[in-house]
Amino acid sequence: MMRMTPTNTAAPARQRRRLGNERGTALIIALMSMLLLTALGAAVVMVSRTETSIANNYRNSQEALYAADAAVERVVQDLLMVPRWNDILGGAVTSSFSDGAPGNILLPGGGRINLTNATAALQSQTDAADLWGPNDPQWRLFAWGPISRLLDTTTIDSPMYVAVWVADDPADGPSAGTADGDPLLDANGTLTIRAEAFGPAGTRKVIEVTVARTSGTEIERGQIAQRGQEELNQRARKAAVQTPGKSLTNMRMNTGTGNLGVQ
Amino acid sequence: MSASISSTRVTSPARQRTAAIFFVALTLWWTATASAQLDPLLFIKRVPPTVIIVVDTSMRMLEDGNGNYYDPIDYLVSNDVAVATALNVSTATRYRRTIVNLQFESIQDGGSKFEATNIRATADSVAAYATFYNNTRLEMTKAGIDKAVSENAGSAYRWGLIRLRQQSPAWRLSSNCDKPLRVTGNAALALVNDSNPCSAGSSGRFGIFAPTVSSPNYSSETVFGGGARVVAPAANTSGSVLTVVRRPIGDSSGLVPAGGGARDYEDRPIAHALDDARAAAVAAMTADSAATRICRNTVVVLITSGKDDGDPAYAASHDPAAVASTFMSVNASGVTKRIPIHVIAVKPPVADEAQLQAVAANSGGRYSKVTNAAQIAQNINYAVQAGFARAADFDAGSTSEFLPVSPIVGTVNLKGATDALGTPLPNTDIDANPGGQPLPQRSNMMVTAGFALPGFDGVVRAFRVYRPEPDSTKPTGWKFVNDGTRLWPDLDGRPQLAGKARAPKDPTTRNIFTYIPSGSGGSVVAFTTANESILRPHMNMTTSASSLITLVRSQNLGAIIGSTPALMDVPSLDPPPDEDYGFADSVGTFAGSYKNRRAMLFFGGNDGMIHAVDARTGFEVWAFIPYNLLAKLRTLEDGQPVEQFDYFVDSSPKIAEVKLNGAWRSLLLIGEGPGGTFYQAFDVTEAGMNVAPDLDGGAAVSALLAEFDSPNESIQFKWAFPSYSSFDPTFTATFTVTDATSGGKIKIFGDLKSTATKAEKTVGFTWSDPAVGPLDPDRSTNAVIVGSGYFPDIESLLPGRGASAPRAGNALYLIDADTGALIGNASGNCSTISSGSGSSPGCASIGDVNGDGRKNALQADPTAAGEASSLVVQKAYLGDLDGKYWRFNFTSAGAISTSQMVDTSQPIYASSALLFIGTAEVYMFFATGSDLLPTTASGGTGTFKLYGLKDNAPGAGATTKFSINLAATTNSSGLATGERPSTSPSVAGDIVFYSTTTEAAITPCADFSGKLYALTYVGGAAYDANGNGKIDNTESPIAATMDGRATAPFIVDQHLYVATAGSAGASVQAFGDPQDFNNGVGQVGVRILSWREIR
Repeated sequence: MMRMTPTNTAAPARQRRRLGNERGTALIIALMSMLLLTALGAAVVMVSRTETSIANNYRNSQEALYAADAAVERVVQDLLMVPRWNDILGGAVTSSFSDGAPGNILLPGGGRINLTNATAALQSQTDAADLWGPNDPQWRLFAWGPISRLLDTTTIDSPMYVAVWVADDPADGPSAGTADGDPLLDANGTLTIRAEAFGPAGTRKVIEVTVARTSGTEIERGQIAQRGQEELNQRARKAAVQTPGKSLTNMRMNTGTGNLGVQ
Repeated sequence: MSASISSTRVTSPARQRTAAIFFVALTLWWTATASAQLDPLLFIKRVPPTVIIVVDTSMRMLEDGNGNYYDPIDYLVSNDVAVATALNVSTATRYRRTIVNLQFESIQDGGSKFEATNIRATADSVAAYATFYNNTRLEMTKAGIDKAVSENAGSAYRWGLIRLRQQSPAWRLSSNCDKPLRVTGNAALALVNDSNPCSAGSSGRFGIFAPTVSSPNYSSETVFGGGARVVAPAANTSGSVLTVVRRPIGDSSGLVPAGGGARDYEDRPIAHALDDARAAAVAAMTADSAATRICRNTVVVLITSGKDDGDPAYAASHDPAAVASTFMSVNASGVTKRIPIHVIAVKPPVADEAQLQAVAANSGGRYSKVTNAAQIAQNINYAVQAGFARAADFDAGSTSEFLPVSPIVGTVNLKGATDALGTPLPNTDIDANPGGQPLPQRSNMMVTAGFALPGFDGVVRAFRVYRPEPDSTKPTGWKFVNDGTRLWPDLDGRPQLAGKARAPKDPTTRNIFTYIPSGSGGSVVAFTTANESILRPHMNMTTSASSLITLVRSQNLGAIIGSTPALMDVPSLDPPPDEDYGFADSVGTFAGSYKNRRAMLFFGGNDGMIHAVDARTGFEVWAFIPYNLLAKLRTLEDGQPVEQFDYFVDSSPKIAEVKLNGAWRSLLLIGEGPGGTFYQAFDVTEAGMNVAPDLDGGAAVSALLAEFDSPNESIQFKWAFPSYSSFDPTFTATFTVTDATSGGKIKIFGDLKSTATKAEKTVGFTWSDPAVGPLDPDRSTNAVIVGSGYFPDIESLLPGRGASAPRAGNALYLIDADTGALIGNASGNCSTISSGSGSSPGCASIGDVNGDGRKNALQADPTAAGEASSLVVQKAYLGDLDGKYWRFNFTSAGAISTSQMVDTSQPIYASSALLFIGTAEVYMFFATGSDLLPTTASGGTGTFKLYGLKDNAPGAGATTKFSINLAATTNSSGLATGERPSTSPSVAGDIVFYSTTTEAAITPCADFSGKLYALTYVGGAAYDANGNGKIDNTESPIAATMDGRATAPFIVDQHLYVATAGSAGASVQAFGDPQDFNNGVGQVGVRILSWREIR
C-alpha cells in the first residue's frame, strides 16, 4: 500500500522516486511480449499442424480413392475369368484377391474391421433403403486385402486396405426395363461393384461402379467363327492389332523350323 | 500322294483301265466363249522348267517286260496258211505275233540270228488285236509321255526329247524280215516255217520284223549322233513332242525301237543318252534369257527298259552312274545348276536296277519302277513338279513348301502335350498367381496348310503360338510371349512326318467313306475294296476298281491349295446364346455335354477327300470322298500335272454351331472349289468325343480311329446341294475353254442328270464358302447362305442340261441348314433365276453383263449380317465377276431382294469384310481383281482397287469412303507387272487390312513382294509406317512389306497372321505385341458403365 508525505516537495520527490524507479517494467513488457510471442507461436504451430493434418488426410483420402478404383479394376479382371456371374451372386465364387478370413482384420493406422459384419451392415443399409424392392442388391464380399498385395513385388507402396462387394444390378432383367426380381440371378450381364478402401487415421473411401459384359470385344474363335454368322451379327468385333497409330511389331518364322521371332 | 503310286502293285486290270481312259473315253473338243477364271497355282508358274525326256529306243522296248516281243507287223493269214494254222488263227484275216523269250543266238550269221521258245498269235477277230501293242514298253512310254505332256502343254513349258543314238532307224517293210528266228518250244511250229512274204528257210524257222539301224547304237561317240536330239528343249515344244510320240508303230518319223545287240549284251547306250541330255540342257540354258536362266530348273526324265549296255568295249569305257554324277553341277553361260535325272524303269530286269538307281541317286533324282502308262505319266508329272520347286530348293535337293492359304489360330487342349520332337511343352497347365484359379490358354495353336513340290503332298503343320512365362507384374502372374514351337511328334516310326498332319501308317486302318445315293435317299459307305462292287459303277468303271481304291487309300494327304482349315474345339466358352447351349459346367446343356470334346481340324485335299485330323496328335481320323468325285479319282493314277491340275476338294470348310429342331449341333459345311459343283453338310457334333482330350500317343490315335470306323458314327452325313441323287457319274468329257482356266481344258467326270432341278443346274464350281445363321428369332430356320460359284460356258454341251438349261454361276442361295433344301422352295424350282434374273424363294440371280468378256459369277464368299442387337441374319454382301457389289436382303420365308451397291467394272473374286459403326452404319471392304487371275484373261489387267464403302440403307446404294489404286497391272507374255490383291480383307477394331502381291515381268526370278495395307475405316493410314512415332498426313497405308506372296490376313487375339512363300521358303509373318498373347482369357470383355464416389 502506498503512503502520503506532509510537504508538497516531498511528494513530488516521492513521486519522482516512485516514477524514477521503473525497474521491472521491462520484465513485464518482456513477459508480456513473450506471452504474446508464445501465443503467436502456438497459434502458428497449431495452424501448421492443422494444415499438415489436413494435407495428410487429403492425401490419404486421394490414395484411398485410387486404391478403391484399383480394386475395382482388379475385380473386373476377375470377372473376365468367371464364366457365369450367377456363381458370384450365389457366393460360390470369390476373387483370387483375398486376405484370408474376413473377420478381425487389422486396418492401417490401427483399428480392426470384421468384413463379415461390414457385409451385414451394408446389406442392412441397402435393405432399409429399399430402393428397388425385390431387386435390392444382395451384396457378396468378393475381394479384400491390402492394396500392396495386388502385385507380388513391392511396387505398390501403399498402406491402404480394400474390400470389394459385388451385387446384381437392380435393373437386371431379360430385357430393358423389366427387372427380374431376383437379385441372385444375372440376366443381363451387368453387375454392381462396391469398393471400399481403408487408410491411416480412419481414412475411408467408397466407390460404386456398374460393369457389363461387352460384345464389342472380340469373341476369340478360330479361323471361322464356330457359332457361325451369328457372332458377326452380334457385333462381335475383333480387337485391334497392337496399338493403332503406333508401329506394328513384325514376327516371323519358317514353317520348317518353327520359332516365331521378332524381326 | 506320289510315293505310293510308283510301285508294281497295279495289276493288269489297271493297265487295261488306263488304256480305256486314254483311248476309249469320250473326249469332246469345244471352244466356249470367253470368261475369266482363277488359276490357284498361278503363283508357282512364272518360270516353268525345262524337262528333257530321254527315251530308250532299244529293241527291248517292243517287249512287254515279261519276255514277250511284239513283232511290229501285221501278218496276212492268206500269205502263209500253214503257219497261221499252226498258230491257230487260220480263220482270221490278219494276225499279230508275240515272240516268247526272244534272244540272240550265240552265233549270228546267215543261218543263225534269233532264238525263242514260242510264237503266239492274236487274230484280228479278237478285241486284243486292236490294243496289241499297248502292252509293249514302247507304247506304254508313248502313252505316258502323251498324257503328261498334253496336260502340261502350255507355250511356256519347255519340253525336250532325246532318244538313243541310232543310225538310220527304220521299221521293216513287209517282206524285209530279219531271220532266222528259231523256235524251240512249240511242236506245231517245228513243222512249219515262214515262207511268204518272208522266207525264213527250214522248218522251225521264222522271220521277225524288228526295226533296223545301220550301225550299233553304242558305236556312236558323237553328241546327238544319229539325230538323238529329237526335240531340242525350248519354249512351246510340247506339240513337237506330242507329234513324235503319237506316231504309230511302223512310222519311222516316230520313235523306232531298234539296235544291234548280241546274246550277252543289249544295244542300249544309256551313258550316251545322258551325255546328249546334258548337252541339250546346256544348250537350252545358254539359249535361255538371262532373266530366267538363273532360276529356271532343268529336269531329265530317263525312261528305259534296262541298264546301260553295249559291247564289251563300250561297257568297259562307259559308266552311266559316273555320267549322272556330273549332273549335280552343270554350268552354262555363267549359271551353275543341278539337273536331276528321274529314272523311270519300265519293267526292268531285276539285275539292271542297281545301276539305274545309281544314276538317279548320283544326280539327285528319283528312281521308279513302273508297269503301265499311267505310272509313267505319274512319274513324268513328278519330275515336272520338281521343276516348279524354288530354284534354291531344287539345287539343294530339297522339297519346296508353299502356303497358298492363311494360317489359322485356334484353341486346342495342350495340357501335358509334347513338341514335334517329343519334348514336353512348358507350362501347359497353369494357375493364376496369386489366386490359384486355372488359366485357360486360348488361341494357342497355329495351323499352316499348303503343299510340297515335287509330289503335291499336303503339308499341314501345327505350332504353339505362345508360351506362358511367370510375370509378377501381371494380374494373373503370367505373361504370354511369342513361341512357335512345332507340335505333333512322331508316334509310329515315321520321324520324317513329325510336325505334319498325316494319315495312319497302315492305309487299311484309314476311315474313308463316301455316300452312295439310291433313289431319293442313299447311305454312307466305307471306301474299301470290300465294297468294290458297290463302288465300281459310281466310279464309272467297268473293270475292277480294287487297285484304284487301294491306290486312293494309300495316298499321303493331298495338296491343300484353296482350303483354309477350320478348327473345331469345345463349344464356345463365351456367354451362351440360350439356356440349351449353357455353360461348360451345366449338365445336359450343349456346352456341358461337349466340354471335353477333342479339337478337330477339317480341311479339303486334292486327293479327293475331306479330312478330319485330330488337332492334338495330327493324325487323320476320318475322311470323306464326295459322291460326285468318285468318278474323278481315276485321274490320280497318272499323278498331278501342274498345268491341268486335277482339283478335288479345294474349298474351305465352315464350322457352325446351329440349333436344329431344338438341339444345338456342330455342322461342317464345305464345297469343292474348282474341283466340283457340290456343297456338303455333316453333323460333326460327336467328332472328338469319348477320348480324353489330353490323351497322347498311339493309344489316342487308336482310340480315335475306333470312334470313326463305322459309317455315320462320329460324323454323320446330312445333305448335299445339289443332291447327290441328281448326279450322273457316267458322263465323261473334256472341253476346250478360253476362260483362262489353266491349260484351257475343263475335264468333266460326271454331271447333273436331266432330272435335276433348275436350281441345281444353276450351281457352278463351288468356290463360294458359305455363311450360316438363323433367319428368325426362335432359330427355327437356319440358313446356309452361299453364292453359286463359277461355271464355264458349257451348259449347252452337257447332256443333262442342253441348250435350254439355265446359265450356271450367277445365283445366291438360302439353303436350309437342316435339310439342304432351298428355304421356302423345297422343290428347287427357281424358275425366275433360270431365266437369268430375278429371284424365287431361296434363290436369286444377279444376271450377266454382256460384252465385258467375263461370264458372271458369284464366286466370292458371302458375308452375312443383321440388325443391331438381333441374332437374326437378314442380309449378305458380296461382289460378282462383272464388278458389281451387292446386298441381298432376305426374310425368314426365303424371299430375297437384291440391291446393287456399286459397279466397279472389275471382277470381284474374294469376300468382303464388314464393320459396324454404331447401330446402323455398315461399312464394307473388298478389293477388285486377283493375283491368281492370268493377265491374259479379261479383267486380268488394269488398275485394281481397295474399296471401302458405307451402306446407304435404308437409302439406295452405297457411299464410297475410299478406293485406293494399286500399281497398274500389265501383261507381258503372260507375266504380270503391277500390284493385285491376293485375297479378301480382314477387320480388327476399326481397321481394315488388305494384302496384295506385287510382281514384275522383267524380273521373273525375283520374289513376289507382299504388302500389308492397314487402313482406318474411312481410309486413312492406321499405323505408324515410317516409324517416326506419329501418324503423318502423308503416312503410307502400307504397314508392312514382305518377301513372297502373302495370303489373306487372319486376325485373332490382337495379332495378325499371313503366310508367305518366297525364296526364303514357307513362312508365317505375325504382327502384334510379342509379349501380349492370350488376351481375353476367359470370357468376353467387361466394361465399366458407371462410376461414382459414395464417400
